[in-house]
Amino acid sequence: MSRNITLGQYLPGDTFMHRLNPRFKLLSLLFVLTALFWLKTFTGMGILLLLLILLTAAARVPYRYLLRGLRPILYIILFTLVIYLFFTKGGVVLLRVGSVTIEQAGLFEGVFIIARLIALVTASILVTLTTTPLALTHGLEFFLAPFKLIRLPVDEIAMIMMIALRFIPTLMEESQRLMRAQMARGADFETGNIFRKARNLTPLIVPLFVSAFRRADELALAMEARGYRIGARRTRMREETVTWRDWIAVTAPAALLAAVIIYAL
Amino acid sequence: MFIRTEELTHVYMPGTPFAATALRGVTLAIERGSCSALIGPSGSGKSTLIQHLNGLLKATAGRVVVDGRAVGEDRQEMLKLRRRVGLVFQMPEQQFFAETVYDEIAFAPRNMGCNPGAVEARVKQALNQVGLDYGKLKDRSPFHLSAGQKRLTAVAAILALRPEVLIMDEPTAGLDPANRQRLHDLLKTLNREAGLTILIVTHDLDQAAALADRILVLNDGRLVMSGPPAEILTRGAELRRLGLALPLLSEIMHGLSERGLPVNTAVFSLDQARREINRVRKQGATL
Repeated sequence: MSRNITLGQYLPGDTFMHRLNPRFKLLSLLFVLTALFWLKTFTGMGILLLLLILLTAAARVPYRYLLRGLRPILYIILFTLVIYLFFTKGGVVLLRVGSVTIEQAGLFEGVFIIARLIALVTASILVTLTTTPLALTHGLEFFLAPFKLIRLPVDEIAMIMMIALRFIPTLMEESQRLMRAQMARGADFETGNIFRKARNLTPLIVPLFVSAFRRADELALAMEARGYRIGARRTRMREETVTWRDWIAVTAPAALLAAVIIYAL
Repeated sequence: MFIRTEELTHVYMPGTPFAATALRGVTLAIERGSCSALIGPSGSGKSTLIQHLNGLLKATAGRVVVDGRAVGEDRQEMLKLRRRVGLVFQMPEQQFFAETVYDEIAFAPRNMGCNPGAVEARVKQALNQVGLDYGKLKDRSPFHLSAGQKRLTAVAAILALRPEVLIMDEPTAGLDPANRQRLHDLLKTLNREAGLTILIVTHDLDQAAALADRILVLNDGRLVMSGPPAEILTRGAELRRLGLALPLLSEIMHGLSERGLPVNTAVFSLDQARREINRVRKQGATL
């Protein structure tokens, strides 16, 4: 069921990656991503890829989860590689078919770019796999805080995001249940052309909306009953703690970024 | 045997960290024309089990046999099976989507490919069977009916398939006592007069004992007891351990027997209980 949900792909676990403070985790992701864009040499890329492999192992994330996350960008990767292979010239000619050549520079740069893409996605996936959607929202809330100065309702936006994330699995489950219930009444969601399929979704979408509105109503009431007011200052039941691990998690990528810049890796 | 499961096992989301085993090798049989009740505490796998009986869920291991045919992959067979085995989900009124009661009930026959005349006949018959007035209700919105009418309409929406088996998950959940009684009577009539094979899912032993001629008890994905109510209800201690409350009458009779009154504890109605107590009193027994 929740296998198909990309947003809530959190993998429960209890490693140091899971326990990191979400703000620090997002900040270190930012450093890693910046370093990735700054990298110019294969040495630097190698170090970073090795680091990501080590982190994946440390977070006990099965590799197939990373591969699954990479699947959506597979075509982008292939396309990029092909473009670089044929259009970047320089160095030794590796292959010549008629007037079309593949040259050394094209191969090197193509491989470098796709390594960057893969590292980029892997690093982001690693963070979302080890952070609950809730913690992720808390992290984002912190980074959005400056926008309060221009009167952006940051707390409310964060609350909306949190509720949305919270209800994605619920609604997924509900739609699965409804689908089966309508299939018991002979509904067909599989055959027919796209228009027919779209029309056949009515028995699914109407009840889903009805229940979503009912849920929203109940939730609003329940929140008000527990004292939620827009604009009121909220405290947290679980304050996020900051430990030395968090400082390491954020200084290590920062140092890496510095090294990349200084030594032109 | 009409419906049979053999070593039925179901695992949700196998191969992921979220894998959860809901059924562990359930073997059971339901006879044609019977009225069975599947009971068990929450999370025991009741709802998972019944969704296998019309092929909505696929067994991870083991198999389901309906009328001599194993439930398999074939789409056409599956569609036929779903017509024969009607499944009413929990809180079925939550599936309503049509603008009128007529269209709501006509959904199933239309999906079967019935012509308009046949659809109308089926809608009429289904509403009739559940005791609702076709003329009065057919053009009303199903969303604006009373709770009891909604539930009955949802049952009619399945009966319009003209199934041979009617499976209901928590048939009376959220209904008031009057509507609960009405639904009980309906299920009894459907079983005895229309000859439908009925399976209800409940965690209410009272309901199971009142309706069913056979009780199946599921716990933690395993079938732990099965037999006629009279037999099941004598195993009070075991049932209580599973977190199932005995019917009030059984509690009273058990209490009397524990305190030394030699009554037969297998009684299902107030009348039977009164006669039983009078019988032992006439024989001179006192507390």
